[in-house]
Amino acid sequence: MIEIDNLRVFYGAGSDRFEAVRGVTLSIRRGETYGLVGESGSGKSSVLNAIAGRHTDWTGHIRINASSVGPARRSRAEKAMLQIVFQDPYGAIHPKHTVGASIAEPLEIHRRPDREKAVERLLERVGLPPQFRYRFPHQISGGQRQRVSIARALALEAPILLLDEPTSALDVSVQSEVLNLLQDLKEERDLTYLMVSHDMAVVAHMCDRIGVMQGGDLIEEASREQLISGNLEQPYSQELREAALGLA
Amino acid sequence: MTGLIDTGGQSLHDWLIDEDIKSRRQALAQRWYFGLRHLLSSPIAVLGLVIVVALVLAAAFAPLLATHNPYRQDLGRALLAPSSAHWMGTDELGRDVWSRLVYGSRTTLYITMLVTVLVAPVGFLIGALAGFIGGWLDTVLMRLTDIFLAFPSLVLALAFSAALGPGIENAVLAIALTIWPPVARLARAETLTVRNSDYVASARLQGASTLRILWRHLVPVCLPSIIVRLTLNMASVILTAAGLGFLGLGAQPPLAEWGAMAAAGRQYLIDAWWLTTFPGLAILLVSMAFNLLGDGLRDMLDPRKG
Repeated sequence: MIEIDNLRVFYGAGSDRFEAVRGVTLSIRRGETYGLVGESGSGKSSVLNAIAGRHTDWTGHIRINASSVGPARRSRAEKAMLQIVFQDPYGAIHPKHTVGASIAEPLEIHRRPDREKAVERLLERVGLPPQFRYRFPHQISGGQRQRVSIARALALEAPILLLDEPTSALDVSVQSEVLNLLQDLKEERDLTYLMVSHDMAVVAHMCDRIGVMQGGDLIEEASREQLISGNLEQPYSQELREAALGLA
Repeated sequence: MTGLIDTGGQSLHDWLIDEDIKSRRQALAQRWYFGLRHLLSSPIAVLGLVIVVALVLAAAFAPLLATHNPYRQDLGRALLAPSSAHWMGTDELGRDVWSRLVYGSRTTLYITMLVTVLVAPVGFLIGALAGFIGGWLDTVLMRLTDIFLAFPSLVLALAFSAALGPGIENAVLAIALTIWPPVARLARAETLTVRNSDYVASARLQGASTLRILWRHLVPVCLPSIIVRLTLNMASVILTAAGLGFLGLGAQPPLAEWGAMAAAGRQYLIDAWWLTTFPGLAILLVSMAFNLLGDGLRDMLDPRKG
């Protein structure tokens, strides 16, 4: 579903030009949840932003659903292929738009019919009561906002969701609810997830495969079983796993 | 009141504070209601609001409030002191000062409204485009803004006014030309803070056009501070208009305009103090009211608050 070949991502210009991702190659199958883990600055978010088309200064090849996308502007159809769920639910929804308006926006942009009903269905699907569509973001909780973000990401029925630390800004008690919702949606709609996280526990719960990033390189790929049993090759990956388990 | 709005059987107040919002109209009404309550909780802002409302009412009902025809001259009754017949006395041509003051509120309101309507969209568009698109466009637009900002606004307005010729429309244009740069700066600053926000990124990923982002995402964020800024600027607009009128470049006789009235009375300052005092007081009062209201609106519309 997503194939990345020798992706290099740059920031800055001239002598300040900095290579944040140094040649990452990976591929994600349809219906798979792939977790990218690593500490801040490891380049995992840069990979996600390059795939999403949010950051354009990159070289290499990215193929989404077997068609190649470049760093330049993407067509509407290409944009409808994937959506992001952002880390910070407070910053991801426009503070002056009602919940309903936020969810309806992608539908308006793509001129989909029956938007009122679609918004209702989406709210129901993410477990929010229908009256919530008239609320403003400051009138609902963080977990509820993240559900709104998810509903908005689902609106275009994109087959791929990019999850940028979707639970790290949430309470522990709310985290698992949101993760379970994502898990259910994935099975129900045959979605493909690319999840970026620094939390090994979340990744182990959600992902079929993981890639460990360090300093802009993808240093190891492992299956969920390997992660759970601790059968990892790189000492850095082990370190991350133990830190998550509280052993370090 | 409840007859006007369908509140679903609730009293209007309950409907306005109910957390279980049932319609888009209710959501909007609640926003306005809470905003208004906040504004009314500050006595200073209420004072400003009352004076501004009084100005609007005076302009609307000028024929009812005026005791005389503001343009009828009667040289036999020139320079009369305030009395029960002429509440604020008469001017050098025997015109009733109170009536001219009331009609002058129309001129003042006309100028302030027109300047606002001209400046708000132009300032927003220039600032938002500079901030959102960036690059050379940003540099060009902001240097242009700097050039306008480099001149004291009254001097600039004087220059434009002199070039365009006297008259109230030209005065409005001249004032608008001096007022837009701070608005553009403000719009640019607000745009820069939200340009990289996740919600704008999300709209772009969904395929939103630049125009849509400007209109749907940036306008709601920039509008409150632009409104506040323009309200606070109203005082200087009124003063500049009065200044231009005073110098003979703004409103032309016989149109009643406070600045021009004060200027005309200057020659009789010793003998007929009421000619300059009352228009002066009106200018002071209205400028102050706009400032107070602006302060209140700033507290109410503060974007850094919920």
